[in-house]
Amino acid sequence: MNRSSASILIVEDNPDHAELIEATIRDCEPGIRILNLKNGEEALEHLTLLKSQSAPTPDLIFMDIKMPRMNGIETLIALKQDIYMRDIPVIMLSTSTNESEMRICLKSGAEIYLAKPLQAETFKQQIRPLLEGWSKAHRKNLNQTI
Amino acid sequence: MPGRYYCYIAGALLLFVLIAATGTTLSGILNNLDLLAQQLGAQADSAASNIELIAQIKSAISNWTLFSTLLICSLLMLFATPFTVQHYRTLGEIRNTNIRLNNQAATLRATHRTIDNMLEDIIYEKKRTSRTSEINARLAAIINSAEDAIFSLNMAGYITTANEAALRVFGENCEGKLFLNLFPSSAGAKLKTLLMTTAEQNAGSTLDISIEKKKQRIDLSLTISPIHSDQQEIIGFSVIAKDISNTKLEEERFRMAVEAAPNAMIMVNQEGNIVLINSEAESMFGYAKEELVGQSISQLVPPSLRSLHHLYMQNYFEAPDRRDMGRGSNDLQGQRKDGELFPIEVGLTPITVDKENYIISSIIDISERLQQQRALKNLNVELRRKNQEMEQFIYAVSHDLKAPLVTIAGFANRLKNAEDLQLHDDHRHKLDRILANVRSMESLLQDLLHLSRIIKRDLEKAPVDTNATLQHVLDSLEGDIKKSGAVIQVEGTLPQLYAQESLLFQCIQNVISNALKYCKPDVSPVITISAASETGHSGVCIRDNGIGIAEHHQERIFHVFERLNPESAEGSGVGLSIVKTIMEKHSGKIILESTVGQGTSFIMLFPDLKGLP
Repeated sequence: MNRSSASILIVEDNPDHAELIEATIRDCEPGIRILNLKNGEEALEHLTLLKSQSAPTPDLIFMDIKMPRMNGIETLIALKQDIYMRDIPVIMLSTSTNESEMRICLKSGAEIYLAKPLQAETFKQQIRPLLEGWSKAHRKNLNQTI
Repeated sequence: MPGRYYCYIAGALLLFVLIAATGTTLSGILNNLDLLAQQLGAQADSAASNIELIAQIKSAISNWTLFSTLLICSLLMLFATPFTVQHYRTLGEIRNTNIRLNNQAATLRATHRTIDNMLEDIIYEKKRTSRTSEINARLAAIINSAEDAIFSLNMAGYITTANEAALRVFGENCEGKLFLNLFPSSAGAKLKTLLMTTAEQNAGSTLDISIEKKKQRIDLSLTISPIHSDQQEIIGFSVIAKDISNTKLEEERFRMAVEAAPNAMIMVNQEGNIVLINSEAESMFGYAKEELVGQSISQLVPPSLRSLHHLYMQNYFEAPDRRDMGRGSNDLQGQRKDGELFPIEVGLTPITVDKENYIISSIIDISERLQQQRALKNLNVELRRKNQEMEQFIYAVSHDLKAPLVTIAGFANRLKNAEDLQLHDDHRHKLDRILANVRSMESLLQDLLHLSRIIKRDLEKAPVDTNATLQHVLDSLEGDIKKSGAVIQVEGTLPQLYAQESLLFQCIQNVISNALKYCKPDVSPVITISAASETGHSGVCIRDNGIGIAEHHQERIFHVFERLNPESAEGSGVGLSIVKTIMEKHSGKIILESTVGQGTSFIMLFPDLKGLP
């Protein structure tokens, strides 16, 4: 597949962190489309809009945990309850990692739980295969629907 | 000659006449019948002779009938009459005899009853006599062996008998003496009056009196009662003299004990009146002794509770036991003379003196204690709130402090790896310094977060195989152990501990890792791990041969961020503070024994689970 046609959503309130995540992703996937949103509320609004327009959803979501208004875990749980969005792989990013937080994230349906900052190596090894695998399945699904 | 023999003779004569007459009649009949037969045989028809013949036969037959009747009658007379007469006579005799006998039997029965009654009376009397003598003997024994001196006096007041105790107290030869002379003259007059009133009023009376014997004062309580004859006349007096010297002494001691008690003490009788009060109680309630003794206890009870208090007191007298008033409730109050109410705690003890029931109440003013309790409670609430605040603060601070570090490290890394920048080695070195500091800051924050989590979370304790946990720790530290060239010695087997396994792991890991860090530069580290125990506690001792800790630093090393020589060892300075927190959470202890230049021992002791071997 053409990975540069994929799109990634980053939900992060800290602009510096968002910039770093974006930069790391661009280092690995220069042509990829990236959208940056400030918190869980914005992310859900955006995804709901896409759903109402039957527009394609992002291929991957990076989600910070500690965010104002609606935190990452709440957003993750809401996403996983929506049939239209629940198949999008979500990567949770935490500033202060701890086991119980990790357990909650994975139990709530997150694909991967990572400590910040996002490393290029981690992206290449763990996230890229996810992007490809999901895109294939997504495309297949879309074809069947058509 | 009995009458029946005349009957027999008359009968026999009559029988003889009758037999003769019957024979004559029968022979007449036979003759007539022969004649008739001859006439009938000669066929001579003569009506007249026939009729005459028949008439003759008829008269013969009637004669026979008459004679036969007479015969039967005479036979009856001859046999029946004498027997019947005799029978009746015999019957009469029997009846008479019977009546006589019956009369005699009745008499006998009456006599028997009388004898029975007499016998019963005799037996009863005998029993009574023996019982009376037994009772008398017993009474005599009781009187003789009584502790109290007992006298009997005649009406003139002379001693007629005295028991052994009396002889002992008043002298062997007191019998026959005038009773009044046993006492000093002043008391003698009183006694005389008393004897006279006893006689006049025909009722017992008592008098407390003291005598001196062998220069020792003896207190006596005399009870004088009249002695009655069977006719209820007073024939003398009985006197019981009880030695109450000890009782008086005990009373005095009791009074002193109550007085010396550190608590307020009040003794109340069954009517609820105060009989004894100590000075503590005086000052507590603000009354003088004289104002309270004889008064009702309700004076010291708040008016609103008086009726209830009275009811409770009555119930208590019915089922007295040693306990706290109100059974531990905290709302008992006393009332001072000035009307002020104050919280009290009252201990109740029932006592019985001379068949009279009393309550001794020990009263404590708990105003101060309640105030302290309230203050402590508030302080606890405050402390809990502060703790919560601190935990939240630590978490927030750790997160918010870490976010900029992520940014710094991220951008520093990007700079360092930027291919389009021409970086000198010096630039790279500076960037490396930035990154190294970020890492140390991160590990410090990580430890801080970890500490706050240990404080916050509840323990999940279970029996832990400490040997297995130690092995896991050694595995996890394998790299550091190799790097430092340390020798690890495990002495014997370690005890099973009742703890949360992950935290026990953390403790052992932090202490060993500390020992690896603070080793002497020129000596290869030796770390010895052995079992440790104390009453009710078991644990682990970890000993090293490192630099040691000076005594004045030993408390400090458990404080957060405390590092004795930060330049020589890496670490956040939170490790031992985590160990201390974990031990405190387990209600355990950590003991530090150290000598500078020789090494340090950390002994971690966990409370034993009851029944845990």
